[in-house]
Amino acid sequence: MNNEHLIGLLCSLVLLFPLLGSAWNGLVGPVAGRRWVNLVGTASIGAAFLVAFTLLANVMTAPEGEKSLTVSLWQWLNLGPIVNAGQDVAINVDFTIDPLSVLMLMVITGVGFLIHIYSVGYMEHDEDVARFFAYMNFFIFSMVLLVLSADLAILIVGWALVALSSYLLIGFWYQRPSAVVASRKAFITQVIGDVALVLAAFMIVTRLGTLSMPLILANAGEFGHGSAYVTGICVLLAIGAFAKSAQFPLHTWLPDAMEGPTPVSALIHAATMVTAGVYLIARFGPLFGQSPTAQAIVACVGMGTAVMAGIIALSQVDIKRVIAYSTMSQIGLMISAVGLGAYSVGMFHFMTHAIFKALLFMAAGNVIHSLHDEQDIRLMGGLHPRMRWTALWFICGSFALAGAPPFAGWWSKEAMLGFAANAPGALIALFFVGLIVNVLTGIYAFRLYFTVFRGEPQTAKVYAAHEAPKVMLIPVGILGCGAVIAGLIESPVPSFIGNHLWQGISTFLEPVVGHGNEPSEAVAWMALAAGTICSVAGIGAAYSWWEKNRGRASRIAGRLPRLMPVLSFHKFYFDELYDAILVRPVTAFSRAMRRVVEPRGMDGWVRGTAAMFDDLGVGIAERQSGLIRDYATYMLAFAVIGILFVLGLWAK
Amino acid sequence: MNEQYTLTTDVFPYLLALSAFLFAVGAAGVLVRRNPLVVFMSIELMLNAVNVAFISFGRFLNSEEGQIFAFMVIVVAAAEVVVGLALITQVFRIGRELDVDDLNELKL
Repeated sequence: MNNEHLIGLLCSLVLLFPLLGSAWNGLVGPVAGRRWVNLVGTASIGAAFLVAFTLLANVMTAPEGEKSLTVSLWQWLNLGPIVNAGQDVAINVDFTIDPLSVLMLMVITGVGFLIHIYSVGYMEHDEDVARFFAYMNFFIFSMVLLVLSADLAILIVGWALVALSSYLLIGFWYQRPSAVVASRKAFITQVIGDVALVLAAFMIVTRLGTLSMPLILANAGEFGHGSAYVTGICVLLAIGAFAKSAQFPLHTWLPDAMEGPTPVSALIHAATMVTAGVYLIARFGPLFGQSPTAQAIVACVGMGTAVMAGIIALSQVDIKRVIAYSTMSQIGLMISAVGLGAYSVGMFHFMTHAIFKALLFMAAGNVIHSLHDEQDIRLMGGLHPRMRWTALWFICGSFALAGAPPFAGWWSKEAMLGFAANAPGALIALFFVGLIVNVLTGIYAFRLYFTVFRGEPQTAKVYAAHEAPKVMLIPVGILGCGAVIAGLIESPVPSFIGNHLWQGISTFLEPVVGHGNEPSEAVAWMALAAGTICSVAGIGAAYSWWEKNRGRASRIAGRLPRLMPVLSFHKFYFDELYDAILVRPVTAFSRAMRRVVEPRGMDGWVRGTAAMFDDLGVGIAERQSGLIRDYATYMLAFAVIGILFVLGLWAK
Repeated sequence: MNEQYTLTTDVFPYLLALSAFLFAVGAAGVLVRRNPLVVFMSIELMLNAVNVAFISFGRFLNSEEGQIFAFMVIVVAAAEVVVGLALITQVFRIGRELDVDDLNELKL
């Protein structure tokens, strides 16, 4: 068995384990009992993680220049020579194994595995655990399909399937009307992105005549550098990415998606699916490299979303929504980084963010679990002595999120700032906005910690709070350690150890995404220093406003212009805006259609056709009089007509 | 077949006209009479009008097929009379008046 066959087999396995787990849990799970469901649900992802690890080892040990391998499993559809004569357009089930896809794979299956274990504890009182694990496993399958695919059509299939899994899981508690509405909102927003992606695929295939992504990326230059066509493709791809990654203006679904169970928020709406947009732009890096306009748009939208979500996160009172807005903000930073061509740094932040954000969500889940589904942070407080481990890991996650050295987020965030400081022309403004985002991140991250864990308990529920069970604490602990040390991958420390296999993320990803516009040493150090100062300043501000001097925060908010806290609390009124300009007109239009066009127009046609045949039938039935005389007359008449007709033909 | 019995063009049209006349009389009888027995007789008249036409054509075209067909028609007519008269007697037996316009229940 040669290497290519082996890789093909491993790719199939990493897809099949979650898929079979999902099928088993969905079909047999409800009758097999909770223990079996828990076992199969987690073991399938564990097995996928082991296979992913084998793939990682395979890529790491592959010789230089052969890091990227595409294996072809079978041809799904042959569309024939629809673009160029003699060249068939086909949809192939191809998988790419390269550093980028393997990094994604490791995070999806690794973090996914920990979250699945955590779910065993979180869902222990839920009746529908089999359905839950069926959906979760199916999500992992879809996500793996999305990142492994080497064919644009298959990628879109995975892209749509993760949206489906997200829809199913947000609406998991379908008895709650708010969850159903939230799931629908998420799905509809995602479909906007799907449509954009499909249009981009059409534009690509009409020019290049292929859907194979390695071929598309190799021929990215054929569109012409900076041409309107390539900009159009890139903007459509970016809209797809924005919808999936909750970026402005398609961001409103993510906070509502918190209606799903907390492990879902950790897995789908923090660690993996919402970062698929970052992956998409990084994967299509060569195409975006052809269009500086699209890159600038992506970078600005990302940074704009980052600062907007950061401001909103300052005033939200639902613990999960605060973390959701911080996710939106951090993904904004990643999108901005990949927009600036800093793909390896963006992916690095994706990795560290997956770890510390899953950690924060799961720690928040512990809190919610022990407070019996209380999510309002104003009713918490004083949880630290009651949940020491959870609080400890939550602090680690908050430091990593805020970017305090040497936690994971510090390495990736300051590296992104370095690239922003090196941005061409007016885009250098992104660096300064990035500094503001750093301050905001420090503030909202620690506002959450101080409000939830410190101070006096605000309700009686808090006194009854207890530490989470081990099955929920251990995955949190593992991620907590990750949040502390994961950034060291990119540090100089491992190279001192001298293992030739060890590479930083940027070296590891370099064969796929290149170096980007790397900042000089001086710029990088300057950005690092400025970013660190800002992050620490944010943390300090949070300390002084919510811990040292409680109540100071509201006094400061009172001194600000009245509009700012209101805008922040009401999320800049985006939901109301969309309601006014999209939802209401569409609803009114539909109602008008139902009231006027349907009864008069559509029903008129249908009823008229029915009435016509009804009349025809009655008319013919009335000729049946029962009188032989009548029948004989008809016979005679038609016989005479027939004879005359035949005679007429003869006469010709 | 003897040559002298062959019809000539001057006689043939009159025979066809006779056939058409008999057929028309029969058809009119079927349409206007109400007694089923008379209707039956009219049908027989129509069949025999056709027989006249068959035999005339057979003679005119110097072929036996006309006569053979006339025999077929007679056989079919006899079979039809058996069924038809049976129906009429049954109708008479259940005490119905023998009037075709009165026997109009077979309808929607």
